Amino acid sequence: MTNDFLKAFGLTIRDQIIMKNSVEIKGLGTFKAEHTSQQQERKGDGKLVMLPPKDSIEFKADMEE
Amino acid sequence: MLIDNEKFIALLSDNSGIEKEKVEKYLEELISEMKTSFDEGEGYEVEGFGIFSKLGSNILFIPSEELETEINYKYVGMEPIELPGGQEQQETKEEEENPIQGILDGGGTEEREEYEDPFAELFNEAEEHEKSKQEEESLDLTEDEIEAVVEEEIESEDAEEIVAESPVEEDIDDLEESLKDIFGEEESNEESDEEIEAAEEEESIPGPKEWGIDAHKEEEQEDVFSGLLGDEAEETELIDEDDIFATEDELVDEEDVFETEEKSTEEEIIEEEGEEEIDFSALEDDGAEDDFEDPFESLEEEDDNDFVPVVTNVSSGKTSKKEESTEAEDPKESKRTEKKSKTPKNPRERKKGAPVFLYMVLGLVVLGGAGYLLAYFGVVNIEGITPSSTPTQIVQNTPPVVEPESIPAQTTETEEEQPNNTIPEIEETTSNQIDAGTENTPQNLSENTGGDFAQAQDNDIAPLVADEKAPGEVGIITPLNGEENAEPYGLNGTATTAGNNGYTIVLYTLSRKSGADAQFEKLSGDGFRVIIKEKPSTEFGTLYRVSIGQFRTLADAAIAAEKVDAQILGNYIITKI
Repeated sequence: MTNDFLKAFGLTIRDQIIMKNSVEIKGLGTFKAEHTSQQQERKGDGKLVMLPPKDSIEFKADMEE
Repeated sequence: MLIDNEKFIALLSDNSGIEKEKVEKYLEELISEMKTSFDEGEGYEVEGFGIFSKLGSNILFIPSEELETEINYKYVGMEPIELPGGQEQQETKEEEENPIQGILDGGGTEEREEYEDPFAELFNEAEEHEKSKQEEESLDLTEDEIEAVVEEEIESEDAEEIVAESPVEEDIDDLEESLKDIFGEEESNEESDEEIEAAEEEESIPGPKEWGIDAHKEEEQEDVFSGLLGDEAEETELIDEDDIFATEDELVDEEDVFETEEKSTEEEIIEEEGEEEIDFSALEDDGAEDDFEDPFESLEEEDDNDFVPVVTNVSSGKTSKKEESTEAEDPKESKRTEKKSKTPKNPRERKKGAPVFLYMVLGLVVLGGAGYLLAYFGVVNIEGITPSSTPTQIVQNTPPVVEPESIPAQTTETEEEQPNNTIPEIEETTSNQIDAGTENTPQNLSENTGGDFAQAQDNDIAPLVADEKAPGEVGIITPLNGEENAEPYGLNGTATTAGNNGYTIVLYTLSRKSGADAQFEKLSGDGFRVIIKEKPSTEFGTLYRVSIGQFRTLADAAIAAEKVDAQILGNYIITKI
């Protein structure tokens, strides 16, 4: 296992997530892109804030273990 | 879309350049390392990607910041926005209300003050003080003080003071009576004093400030008429006005008045007046200082001066003696300036004088422009302006120089070119008003130009051609097909001498002959009828114009140009050969 492999590992998953694809890695789990649309949020001090849309990466582990 | 394990391994091997088998191996190693670290109760970090950590039976993945930002690149620049609502909304409401209140409370007073000031300056501060209670109080104070002043002045037994006060009272009857008393006998002063006091008591009910207003109005009217009628009106007016306006001879009397005023003000200084009266003094001073403005203000200044005996003394209580002495001097000067400004009426005379001069200049300009336009359009023939007069002479001179030399030089082409030369000659002789450019183009056609530079450089080229006495081949370098059977016009084939009176599609104008030759070979290889023509230029030396085709009319050339491949054509020009 080399650094190049680890870099490529991260890059590949990232690219697929950006393309809204979910990546399944056997023995580890599934990476999935989640989109959060813009939403209002009331903060603790009472301020109402409109949050911008956001993409996030979700990981669901394989339950084989 | 789901990227399963196989696809992922293929992608990974593509991205890393590592073979699939190794990738699978590395991946298994990675997972086993993770598990060992999980078993040890530690997380596993893939640098630049994120941290895997085991929480219970579940594995959590915390993406790194880099990964988070890279995923959200398309939302870059979108930041949380605070919305009006909740506590924030209430706060904003309060903030909004505050400025309004500020406007209503503070701003209102400010506006009132702002309104008061100009009126105070214009109308001797009388009307505005009725608006506010404080000002009414100040009015009361001033009433009392003015009465005190009047009494003091009466005690000083100067009849002239009464004269000065009388216009303030503004009742003409009272004025006349007081005047009679003044100019009659000194013994009657006591009676007049009583009368004046009575009048003041009566008029103190509406308020002493209204004296100023009414007196101001009446005096304004009088002054306006006097200003219109000139000095005579002033002289014929009542005697009291003579005293008020204080012709220079009578200034001595006014000095007496001011002396008594000073006395009265000294006493008033001891009494110490209200603060608001300081404002009056300032306002009146301002009014008195505005000497260099409109005639209306000068009228108002007169009013100020009229009030000097009564009001300014009261109001200027806190001013020093020096200032009062300057005030006493100022009215004299202002009165002199007023008289000066009234009598000559300079601004009106200047206004009358200036337009006449302007009209004359305007008329000259219009006449000149009209003459130039008439000459330019040939209605009137003026040498140097009329465009057709000078160039036609030059053109008429040049062709005979060119023709005899070009004809012997060419044997084959002259036959076609002679009609070209004869036609312009006819045109030149028949019409003198043809543009120089249009007359030069036939020349250029007969010589060697007519290309894309012809539009801009016709005038420059024409004398050049005449000087060079025309190259022998009329500038056409390319071999011409002299066969009679050859089609004179066309896009393809070889150029014919018969087609040289037509149009051609100019593709390039090159500065080197080698480049033109290269283009000739290339285009003729494509089957085009290529013509290279030398084109003398004053700026660039000899240019070589590469064109294709010979067409009888401009329309034919345009139609043919549309069929030619655009890559070959580029930016082309259709012109006469």
